[in-house]
Amino acid sequence: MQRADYVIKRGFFALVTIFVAVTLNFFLFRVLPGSAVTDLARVPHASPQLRHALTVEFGLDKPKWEQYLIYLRELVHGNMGISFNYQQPVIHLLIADLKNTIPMVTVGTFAAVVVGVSTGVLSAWRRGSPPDHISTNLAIFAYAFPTQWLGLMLLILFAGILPAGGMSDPFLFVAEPFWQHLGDIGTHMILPAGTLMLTAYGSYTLVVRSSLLETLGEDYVLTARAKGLPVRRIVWRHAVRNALLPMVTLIALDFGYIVGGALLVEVIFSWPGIGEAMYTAIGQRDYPMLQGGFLILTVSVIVLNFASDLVYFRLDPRITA
Amino acid sequence: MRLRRNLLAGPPGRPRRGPVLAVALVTIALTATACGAGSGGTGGGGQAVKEGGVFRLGSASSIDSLNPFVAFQEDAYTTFEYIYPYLVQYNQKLQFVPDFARSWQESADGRTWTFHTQPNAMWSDGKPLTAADAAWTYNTILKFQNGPTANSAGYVAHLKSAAAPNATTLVLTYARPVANVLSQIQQTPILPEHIWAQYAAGNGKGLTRFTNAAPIVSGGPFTLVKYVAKQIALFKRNPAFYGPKPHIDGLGLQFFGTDDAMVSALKSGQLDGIEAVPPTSVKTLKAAHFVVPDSPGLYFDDFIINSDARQDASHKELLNPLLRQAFDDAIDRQAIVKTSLLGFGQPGSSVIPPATGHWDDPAVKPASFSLASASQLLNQAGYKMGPNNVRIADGHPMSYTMIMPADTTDGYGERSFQIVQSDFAKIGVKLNPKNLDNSAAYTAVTASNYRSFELSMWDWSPLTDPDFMLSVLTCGSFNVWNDTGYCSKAYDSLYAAQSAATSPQQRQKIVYQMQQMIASARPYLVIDYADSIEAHSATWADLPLVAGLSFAPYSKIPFETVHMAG
Repeated sequence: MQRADYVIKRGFFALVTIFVAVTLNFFLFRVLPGSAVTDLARVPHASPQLRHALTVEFGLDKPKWEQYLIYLRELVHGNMGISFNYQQPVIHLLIADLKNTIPMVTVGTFAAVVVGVSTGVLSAWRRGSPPDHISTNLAIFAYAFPTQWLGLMLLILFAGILPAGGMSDPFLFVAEPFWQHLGDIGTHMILPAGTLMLTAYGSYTLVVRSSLLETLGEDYVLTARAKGLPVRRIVWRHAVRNALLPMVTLIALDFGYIVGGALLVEVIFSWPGIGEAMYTAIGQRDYPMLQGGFLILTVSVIVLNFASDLVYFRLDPRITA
Repeated sequence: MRLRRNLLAGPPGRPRRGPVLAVALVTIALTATACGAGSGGTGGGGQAVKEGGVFRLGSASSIDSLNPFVAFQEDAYTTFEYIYPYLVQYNQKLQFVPDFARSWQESADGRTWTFHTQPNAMWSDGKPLTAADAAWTYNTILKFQNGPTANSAGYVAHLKSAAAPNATTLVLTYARPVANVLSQIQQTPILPEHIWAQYAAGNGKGLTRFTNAAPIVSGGPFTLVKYVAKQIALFKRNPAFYGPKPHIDGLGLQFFGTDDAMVSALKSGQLDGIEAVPPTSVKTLKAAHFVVPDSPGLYFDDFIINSDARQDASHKELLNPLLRQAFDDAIDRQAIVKTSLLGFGQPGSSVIPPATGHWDDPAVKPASFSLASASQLLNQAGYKMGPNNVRIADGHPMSYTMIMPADTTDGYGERSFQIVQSDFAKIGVKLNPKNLDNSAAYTAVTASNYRSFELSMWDWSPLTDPDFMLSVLTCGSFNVWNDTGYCSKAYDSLYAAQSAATSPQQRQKIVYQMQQMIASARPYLVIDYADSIEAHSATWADLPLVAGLSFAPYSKIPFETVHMAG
């Protein structure tokens, strides 16, 4: 019963948050000066007739509240609208972008988790030793580097060795065999996913180190030591498992942001994902694309946050509804 | 020997309309067809022609849509240039030369244009490509110009009807003489009626909903066989093309998010050429033995002064001609070209760039940089130096907000602004930058009907024909293209006169007069004309530039002639 109450309460809060986010998404972009039509002001092909036609077609001639009601009505029917820029259904465009983003960001995030947890455990385990100092300082450096700077440095450093942009070798008139194509995508993914890993792993290292140090000072760890258990077993079996609890939230949130893509990484490495799509849409005031993209981002963060709450509830008996 | 059409286009000179030009062009076309029938041999540069290969081109832009009624990006329009027939195209000297039309005639009253198109032409799916396709395209644009085809409305200005009395004749009838008919039709792709007609039914909304996905039925030198949004557009040589067959098997256009990634891909051999080279990369690319042609481009940077007579009293002194002249004198164009453009450009003067060929008025010269002269002019206007070395005009400090759109700040415009800001400070004028994205910047300029904005720094990339750029400064362009607030009935009359001029000489005279008016009124202080810089590997030869560009919506010639170096 307690568990059901907890899930219902959290689920309700998640739904309210999504509704608030949907509303904010609508008004946020319309508060900005400019519109999809004013953006066409300096394009020679954008004749006065076109500006009028687009204003009517996009529904921008209607009052804001009416546009909002139409947006809500369509959303309930699963329709995110038609992109102002591409004149195609937003949902199709975003799904295509998501398909590109998810593998790259997942690989980068997963690599960051593995490297971050490993170096964090190593640092805590060898606290005060040269490996600890090196690992901690590297993590701080990597965490502090601006993503775009690190990306550009890697781009210059690996020029001629790894592909500079795109998702695959595109200049082929016939489709590659599946495994060859997969290998091609993997090669193109190394730099963007590597950049993502380098900028993200530092926070995992620092969190795991701090959490593990705290755990290693707990009474039950001292008891385990007093009982003569091997250090390796104490660390991995008893301390790390408890120290990783805060990581659940961190990882869940990071995976939630996956759908937002790593905007800067995607732009630098010409990775055609959802982050890059949203970056373009902001400049073009493509409201339906922005609303759709932010909606997916919001929902995924909320859903994964909800999932992390449930996992926490399951893992930590101290948490109650 | 294969001869290129652009080398056969006759002596340099101003374009001439009417039968004289038509006869000349028929000769050109026939000669080109006769000489272009062979293959192999030597190219225009005297190098051995090696057939085949895929030219891999990098672009920092993108294709927003493959539908001509939806697209805005230049790469999309260039794609249409290479996959669809156009009646005419430009050559390297910016003269109109035949494409799908082999010749044309203008009636004595200037209202009827007759085009004789290529006989026995075919679409890539084997269906006949005739003048009827052209007539259908024009009539469809006309029919829906206030709705689905509105982005092409400019191409049919004053057009009454299009008819195809037979398979190789197209007759365009205008309501009045139109000076830039050839420029309009040079921008209009001819679409296959048998594919598109079904979308023009009813209210025509299907015309904008049609994705026109690859593989596209094409009539140009290439067919688009693969397109992945934001990644690649892959073109294959079209064996059914009516004109000179390209030497290359295909052309690939890969899209990049940044110039750095694109230059890096070129240097590492992942690309054969790139569309636009940042000036900072020229030296390293030349050192790596790439061919890096730079030529005058159509693009210019400008300093905008609010020219609306109704503007707020708090900055009404901006209308003072002495102040405008002082601002013009205080812009160190040489320093900007040297520092911002690294020498790849020239000081600006007129709103019609020299790269348009014969439309820029050589009498309009860049202002001479002189801070002493600028100070003297401001003194003469009565604007005395106030506290903090800022002059006082009409009781308030000469401190102005300068709207800086992303177009300016994303490139070298930031450096140019710093030079201008520093020089203006020396004459007692403070410039305060306000960075905005393009959409917000245009809204800020036009806010309160141009009353509130003061200064801005932006750019234009005009078309080769002057009509569009001149239209930007008309009263009718308020809240559409006009970003200065300039409005003059005398100028508008001249604009109308040039658009209906019956001879190129008469039109040129009016266009010159308009440029002088603008140079004198100074709504724009044209800062510089940036060069167009491209790069390609030395393993390719005979890639000519049209208006400074190889892959551009002006001509099919560059990728018809390019080939692997022998």
